[in-house]
Amino acid sequence: MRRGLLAVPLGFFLSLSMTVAEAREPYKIDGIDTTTYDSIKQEWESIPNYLQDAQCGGWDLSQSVAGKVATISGVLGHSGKWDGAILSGMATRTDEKKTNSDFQFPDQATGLVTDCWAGSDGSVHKPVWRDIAGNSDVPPTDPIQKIDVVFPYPVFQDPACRWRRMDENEKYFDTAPSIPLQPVSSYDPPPQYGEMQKPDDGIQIIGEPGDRQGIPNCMDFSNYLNTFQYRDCLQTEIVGASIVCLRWDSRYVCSNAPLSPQPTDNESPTSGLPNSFVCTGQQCRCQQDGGPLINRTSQCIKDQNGDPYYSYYRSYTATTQRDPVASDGPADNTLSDTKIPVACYGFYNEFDPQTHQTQPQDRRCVIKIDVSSMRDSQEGKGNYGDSTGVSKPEWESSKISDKDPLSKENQRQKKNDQLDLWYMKLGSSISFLNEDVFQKDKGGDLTNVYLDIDNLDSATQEGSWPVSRQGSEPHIAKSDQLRAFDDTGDKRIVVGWWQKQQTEVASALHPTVLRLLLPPGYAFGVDPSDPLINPSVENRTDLTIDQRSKRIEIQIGASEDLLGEVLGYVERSFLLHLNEEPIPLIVPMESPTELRATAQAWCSWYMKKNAASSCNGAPANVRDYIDKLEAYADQVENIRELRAQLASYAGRVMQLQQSLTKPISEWMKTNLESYQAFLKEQQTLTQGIEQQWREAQTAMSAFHDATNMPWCMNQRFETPISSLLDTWLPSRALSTNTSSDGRISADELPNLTVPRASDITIDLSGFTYMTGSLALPVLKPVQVRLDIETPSENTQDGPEHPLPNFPNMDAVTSAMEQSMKNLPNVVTNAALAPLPLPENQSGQTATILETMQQITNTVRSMNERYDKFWKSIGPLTLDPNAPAYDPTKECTSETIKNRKEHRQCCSFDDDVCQHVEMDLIERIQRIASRKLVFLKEDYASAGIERGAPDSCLPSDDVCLLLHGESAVPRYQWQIDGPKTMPDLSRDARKAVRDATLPTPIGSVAPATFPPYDASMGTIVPVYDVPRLIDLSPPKK
Amino acid sequence: MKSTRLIAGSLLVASLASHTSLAFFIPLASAQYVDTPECQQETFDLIAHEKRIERSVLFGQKPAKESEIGSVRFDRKGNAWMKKDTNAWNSLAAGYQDTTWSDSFVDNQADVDPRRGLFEQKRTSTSDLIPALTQTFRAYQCRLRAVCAVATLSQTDDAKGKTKIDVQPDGCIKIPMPVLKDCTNGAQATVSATSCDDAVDSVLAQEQQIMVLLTSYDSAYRTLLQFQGVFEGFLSSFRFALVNPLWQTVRVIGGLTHLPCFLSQCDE
Repeated sequence: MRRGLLAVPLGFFLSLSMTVAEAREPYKIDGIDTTTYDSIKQEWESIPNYLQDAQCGGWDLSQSVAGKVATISGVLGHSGKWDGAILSGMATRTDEKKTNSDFQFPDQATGLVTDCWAGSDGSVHKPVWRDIAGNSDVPPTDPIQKIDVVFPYPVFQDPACRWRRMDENEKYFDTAPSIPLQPVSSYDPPPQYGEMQKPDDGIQIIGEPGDRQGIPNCMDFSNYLNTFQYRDCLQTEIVGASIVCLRWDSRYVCSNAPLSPQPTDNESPTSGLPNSFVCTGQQCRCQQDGGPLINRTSQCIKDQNGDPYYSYYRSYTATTQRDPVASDGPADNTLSDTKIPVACYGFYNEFDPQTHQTQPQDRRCVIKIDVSSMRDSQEGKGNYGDSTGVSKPEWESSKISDKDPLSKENQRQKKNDQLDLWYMKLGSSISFLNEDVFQKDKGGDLTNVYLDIDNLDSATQEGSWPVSRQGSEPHIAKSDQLRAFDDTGDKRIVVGWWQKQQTEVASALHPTVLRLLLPPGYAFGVDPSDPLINPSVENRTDLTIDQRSKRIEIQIGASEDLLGEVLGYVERSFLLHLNEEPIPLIVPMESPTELRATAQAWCSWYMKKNAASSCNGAPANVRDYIDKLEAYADQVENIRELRAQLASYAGRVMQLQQSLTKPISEWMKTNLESYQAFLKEQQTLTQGIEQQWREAQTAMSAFHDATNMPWCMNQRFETPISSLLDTWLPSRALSTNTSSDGRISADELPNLTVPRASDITIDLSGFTYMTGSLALPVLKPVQVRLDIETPSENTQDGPEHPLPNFPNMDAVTSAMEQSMKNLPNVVTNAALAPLPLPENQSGQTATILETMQQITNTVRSMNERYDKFWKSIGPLTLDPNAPAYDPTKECTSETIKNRKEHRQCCSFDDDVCQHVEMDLIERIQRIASRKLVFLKEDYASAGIERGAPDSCLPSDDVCLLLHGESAVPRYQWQIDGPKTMPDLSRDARKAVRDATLPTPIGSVAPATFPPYDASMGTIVPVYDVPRLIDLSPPKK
Repeated sequence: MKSTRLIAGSLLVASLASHTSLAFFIPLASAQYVDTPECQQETFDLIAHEKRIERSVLFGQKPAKESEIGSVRFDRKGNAWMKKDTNAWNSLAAGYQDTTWSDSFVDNQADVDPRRGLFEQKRTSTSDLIPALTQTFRAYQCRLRAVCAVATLSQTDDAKGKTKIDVQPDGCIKIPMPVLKDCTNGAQATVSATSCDDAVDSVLAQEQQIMVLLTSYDSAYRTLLQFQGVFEGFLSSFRFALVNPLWQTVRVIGGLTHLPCFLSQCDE
């Protein structure tokens, strides 16, 4: 397969390597600022200079391909019709029905034929005339009789040219067997045969060294065969009761033809044909029965036994004819003046390579051609862009050409747009108001414009073409690329196969996108600093608001902590809204020191007044007062314990919160783990695929950039070489479908089938949060001093009013605890199903990787086949230091160049013998490819436009198919509060009032109410809680 | 946030008291206020009464029936009454411990009539409230001055035999004020002559700071409400048209990151 368009700028070969060409470094755009037009423009302005340095490429639409595809004669093969299938990029064979009727066999062919049978055991029975003692050449007076004699028979196998007799030491005879042959029984040991090996010193070799299939060796073999002669009587006479021989002569063992046929010879009219002789033209086309396709025995020359002469060596001289391609480089080397000798070894075997899988023994020909000057001669470029001034072809008019956005004709003119509010300079991608229309239709008020924005604003941004849809008309990418082609001809099996694999890999590497739909943040007071609303740069791929559903849609590239962020966000949204509810109360504000001082003052007062040493004997009212003061001093500190109520209550609320969020946390944890596992598996899969696919791409790159492009050449519209498909295209080996499709199909090619992942939309917009707020009672103690009596000199009987017990704050504490108990119970028996994560393909990793390895192997095999093809006619550059031809060297040690020039094969399918005889025309046509300048008809072999955005024709495109999208049922998670939320603050306030106020408002007995230094008129208002004022607008 | 709580009785300290519309004072009348503890208590009770009136003007006074349990009202004698239960009000004032008043009776006996407060006006900007607030404060000033004036006048012969007398602080209209009975006997002077004015100054200064803080809070709150409404309308009306192009841009750019490279040269 050759990549057509891609080869234009990249087909530069600077290396002087003997075998593998290296393309120029590709033009790279790396790390430029893509945010400004100028920076991009600056980058692309250097591209023409890069292209200018190219050796070939470009366009010349003024030239037609007609006449520029080489016509080959003098060799076997099939004629082609270069414009038979323009769209396929290849020619079709003239024989469209593929019956091989277009096969050509040149009359100029020469070769060698033999009627000796290969595979003989080395002996043959011959009924010959002998005297009674078994002797030949006896006088005509001696009676003779027919007896059966076993003679030696040449032993050889295909290829024949290298077989000889060996002596007892397994050395080859330097001479032919003694003529005439003696019967086998006279040999001791019997004659042995084998393939010739490199001769030892001292043994004279006739012709080429024995390990090479060269033309001299074949001639030598022919001569050798003809030395197999036996004696027989060619003319007998009956004398009386006896038969006597009038003329003894030798016969050829294989053909039984007499060595010296006489005009009077009354034997077979074919007599005189030796064991082997030179054939010409159709004589060389004879082959044995049982060939793969054609039984041509009836057309063969036959010996007097009726046995056909088969060709075991053929020699052709190919000539090419094509018109040169004009370019800015040197003259196109069309090879038209070059005669190209070709030698093919082995028994002729005619078949149609299109329907027959060639085997190693079918690669048997040597093409002697010097291509060392092609790299230089085939340089030359056409034009880039359409600067030729030549009108474009008809099909060009339907294609889209680039427009200069800054060109005036591509911009809407203000004067022509007076009816439009917007003055669109599309080239600048910016809109301005049309002042006239703005004033006339919109009253000069921008508000009117905004209010009519739906009708006025047509500035929508379109997606890329493959997925864009404008109105009801889908915009599909137009395939402006030249089609790639391959040697499967109009089937383009390999192209479609490879591009399909590329698309599959793209699908495998295209990460799945999670699309989360969340409730609108603005509606429920989401924290603007929430990391989800302001995600980190790495995660921010899409943040938008959809009008219809009124929800935030966040499309997020998968990252490990993403789901955690989302679920954390959801969890946060469930946080209880707390509302502080003050619980006012009054508490005594006294200093323990002061209270004890007052107690001591009363004690001192008593002792002074009664001259007592202690106040133990004080009256009950004084004693009680002192004790109460001491108790007050001890308990007043306990007031501080009320402060702990807030923390205690807050802790209880936190527990409530935890109960509410625990299921979400567990749900989150479960999903996080599976999500992270999914990501990890996907990452592993991606890494494995990337690594493996890189090898396949490298192999394919080496193929189309180097191997199959040894010099600048355009192989488009040439006849496919079907035999180059062998050894790597599996369908060639199939036993079925052998006729019509020529075993050329994608069957059994390693085929990736990556299940199409789908993006998943997870709709969490149904998540609701608890409306309203939960009251958090907060004690607000107001400290009031107590009215403590102190003794004075005028005090007579002690305190006037007894002190009640210190107010017990346990009731307040109990009220708060009761308030905690009244908090709603949390029932969380509902579980949410786990998030349906995208189906992971990790289970198929092994299969995918194995298939990729098979693909890589297939591409490498293909590369190897083409590599051998091109190397066999090498080298591409001559090495002045290369060793000279040395006939004494072992064949495989000889250079390809030397073997090629002497048309030598070491064996079938060796480095030089790479050419299949049946498609020599196609092969030499390939070698004589035109220059790499794209011509008029090249432009026509463009791909078919895509018909649907969600599919991709593998024969034309490698596509990045967006995943399908699946949505799961909407998730909903909500907190169902009690139908009537308990008014915890009201109950707490009442309890506190009861505990701290006297009757009738509270439940404290007036007698036990602390003697606060304030009137009831000021104490009661402390308990008043200002009401809320609602300023929200009335509901419509 | 849909509501706010205005704590009328708290001591709020404002660091800035520069609201120009409130930063004026009516000149003091040259009071000769000589009081007794009883006179002083009666004077302060009247000041408190005026303050409750002023607060009711600012924040409103719900009818007793609509008031929440725990609400406190004052009757005309200055006794505090708490709503202990539905339609049941009790007081701890001497002589009233065994008395329960109904809602209607509380409204009838309350020293402040139910009314709607200035700050309760919805769909009004704070700026529109300023004149009324200013006038309220000005009236509050006048009435407090009038309290001191009547406290002084109550000790004079002008008040003898009268239950009400008209007083006119400087810059104010004539205000009929009740004669303070406990101040009619001015012979027992125990407190400085300017104690009433000092107390009024203190109350006014405090109220001024509260007003400044309150106005600031109200302004911010009403602005937020206004912005919320406007923004909600904005999002409902315009957001798709404005946001959609951005949304498409982001989507396209985000999609570009997924484009793989199919050139073999990208493998390096």
